[in-house]
Amino acid sequence: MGDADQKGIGMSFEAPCSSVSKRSEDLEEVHLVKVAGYDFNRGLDLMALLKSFSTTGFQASNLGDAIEVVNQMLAWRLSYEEPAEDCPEEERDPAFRESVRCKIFLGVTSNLISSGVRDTVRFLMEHRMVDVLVTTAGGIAEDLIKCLAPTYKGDFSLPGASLRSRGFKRIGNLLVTDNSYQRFQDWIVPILDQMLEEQRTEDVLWSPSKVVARLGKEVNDPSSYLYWASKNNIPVFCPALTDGSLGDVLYSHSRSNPTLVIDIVQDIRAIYSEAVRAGPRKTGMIILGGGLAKHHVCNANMMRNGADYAVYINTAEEFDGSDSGAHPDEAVSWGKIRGSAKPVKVHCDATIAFPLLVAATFAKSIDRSA
Amino acid sequence: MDEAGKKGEETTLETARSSVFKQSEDLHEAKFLKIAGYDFNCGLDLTELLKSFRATGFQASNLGDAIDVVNKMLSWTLSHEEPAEDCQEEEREPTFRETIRCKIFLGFTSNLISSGIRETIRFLVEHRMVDALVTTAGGIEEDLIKCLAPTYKGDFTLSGAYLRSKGLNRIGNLLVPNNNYCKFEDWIMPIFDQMLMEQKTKNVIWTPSKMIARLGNEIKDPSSYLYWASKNNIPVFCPALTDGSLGDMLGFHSIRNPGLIVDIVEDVLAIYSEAIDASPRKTGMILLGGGLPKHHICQANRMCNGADYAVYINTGQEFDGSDSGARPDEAISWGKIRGSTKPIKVHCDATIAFPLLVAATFATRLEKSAYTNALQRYQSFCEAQLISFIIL
Repeated sequence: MGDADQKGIGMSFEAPCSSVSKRSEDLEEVHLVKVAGYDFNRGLDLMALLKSFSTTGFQASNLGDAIEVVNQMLAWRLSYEEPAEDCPEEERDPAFRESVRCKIFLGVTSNLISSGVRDTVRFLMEHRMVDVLVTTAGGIAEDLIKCLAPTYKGDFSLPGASLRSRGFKRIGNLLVTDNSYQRFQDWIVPILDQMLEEQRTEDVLWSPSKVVARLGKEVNDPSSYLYWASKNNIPVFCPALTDGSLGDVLYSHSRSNPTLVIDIVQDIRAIYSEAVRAGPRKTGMIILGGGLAKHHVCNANMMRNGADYAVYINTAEEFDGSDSGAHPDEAVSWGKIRGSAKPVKVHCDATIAFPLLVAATFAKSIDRSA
Repeated sequence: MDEAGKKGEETTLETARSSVFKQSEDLHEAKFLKIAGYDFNCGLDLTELLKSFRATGFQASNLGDAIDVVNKMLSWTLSHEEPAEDCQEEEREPTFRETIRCKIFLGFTSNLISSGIRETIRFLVEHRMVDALVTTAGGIEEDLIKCLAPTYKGDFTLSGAYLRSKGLNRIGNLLVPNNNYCKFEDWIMPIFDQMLMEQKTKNVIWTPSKMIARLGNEIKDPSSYLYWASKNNIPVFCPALTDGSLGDMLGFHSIRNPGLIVDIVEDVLAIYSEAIDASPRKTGMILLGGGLPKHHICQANRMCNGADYAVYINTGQEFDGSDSGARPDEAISWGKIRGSTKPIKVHCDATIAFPLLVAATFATRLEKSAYTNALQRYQSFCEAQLISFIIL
């Protein structure tokens, strides 16, 4: 073997070596965070544990980032921004600017109201911590039904046929009894009668959000998030209000009566106004699960050129082109989230991630006396 | 090692062996299908390839089972059942019983209409192969918008901020230019004006399904599934009609020319009636994707004590308790599917599984003449379009 050949072998060995273990940049210099988990030797400290998530990696880090984004939503005040050149005189007043906060849209799928996340949502509504809520029909009905009869824990593998014969309905690993829906029907029919009367005599044109506010008022139970929404004037939007047991009730109701009309056009105008009228406020979206609840909150925020803050918590993946699984960056292309925002998606069931998120954000900032 | 020790070791080994290689029961091939995939040495034969899925295992087998279930839906006629004791005289008539077929509910999410699944659905609606459709707002507007301007293939990883600056909207790996929505606005606003007028002068109460039928009638384009649904009187339900570009349009319209009402109560009565009035027909559900379309069709089928046939194709998982990911057995507990049926869930993106399912079921039942007619119709439409374009 000649000298040149030997040199060639040496070089070809060196080349893969340098590409496998390429000398890394000094990571401290580029402000990277060192990965480290919670040290249980420090004792059981919820706050410290939650804080450790951002440096734990994978989805724990995404949850940590989501906590950070929600804390930014809560901390933001108009006073943090320079007044725009064309802004009206009253908007320049520092005290006014201090009082203007981020407007928060919360989207929730119905299964989460069947689950214990309902009580977390109730907490947020009770303390006026969110401004607009969007859900699907079950997200309304299940909240009201829980005031009349409980939901029980079951198991994902309970056989459907045997549950059916025993009068149970399964929602994942939860069970609801047939009786609960019966009680719901008995409770709601007189209210619908009254609403129909108002439609006839007072020319009320009902919309899903008006119906929901009325039901929240009628249920009059502080364990219900709808009760608090109604009391605190927080609008709850649910365009497909008929896609659940409310649809059943409306079905049997309108067979014996002239029909109640529930108009969805008023509500689309109302939710768009919520976004447009946010005015100088920033807007933030917290979206649990996918489907309509997610799409509707995003669509409304498109009306103001996108939300300033966005947190998704869901288990869907983007590969099938569904909006449910789409990354926040897809929403940036639509103008649903601003390009300047730093949106976060946490790939986790919201029954785990959301109570933790609230513990590290909303619940932390609450005045103990409340 | 002494003799006893050796013997002891042999017995231990024997016990271990018998617990590892436990004698299996005889799997009678009459009862159990032998696993075998398609043999490409047999040449490229779509029908045979689709047939081989059942024995291939995993989700290929589920797709094979789904094909089976849909073929049962299509083959069933009332004559296969004994007349009920209390059934009416005319219902006993054998020729009448021969004509009564399964009523098929098809549900699909809006992203599938953005995708090429739209053409598969158009085919089914064009040939009256399904009886009722449920979708979400995008499933309506994307069909109409595609008649005005195309959707393009993009990539899942294109940057959102870059696309925004170019006026392109991303749907998975598809791209829709903003201009498409502007064209849609120009097209739809005069129709809304007209509808508002009819509401005022003729006391029409619009519902999502009535509005959709009207839009399908107005679009007059045989590439649209809504055009065919309207022409063939197949109802299309979409309770959350406002959750998309149609919502934007209705919102803008309510500012420019206020008063249009879209009532959702009448529509829930209509879809429930579809299920209740199905009797004595059996009902079948084919549900592509999750969310509202899946839930709404299942809800309606409770009204006839559950569907007799059910096929789900989606990528949702049950662990998070969502209805989207729930297995068909959860629906049995609600009475949405009958306990006596064997429902199938195919865990696969519908953009792959559904065209294959249709190839092995609906498409095999269409007569040749229907194909030729459809093709001719479409060609003459294209020519007419071309002529009107030249004249303009």
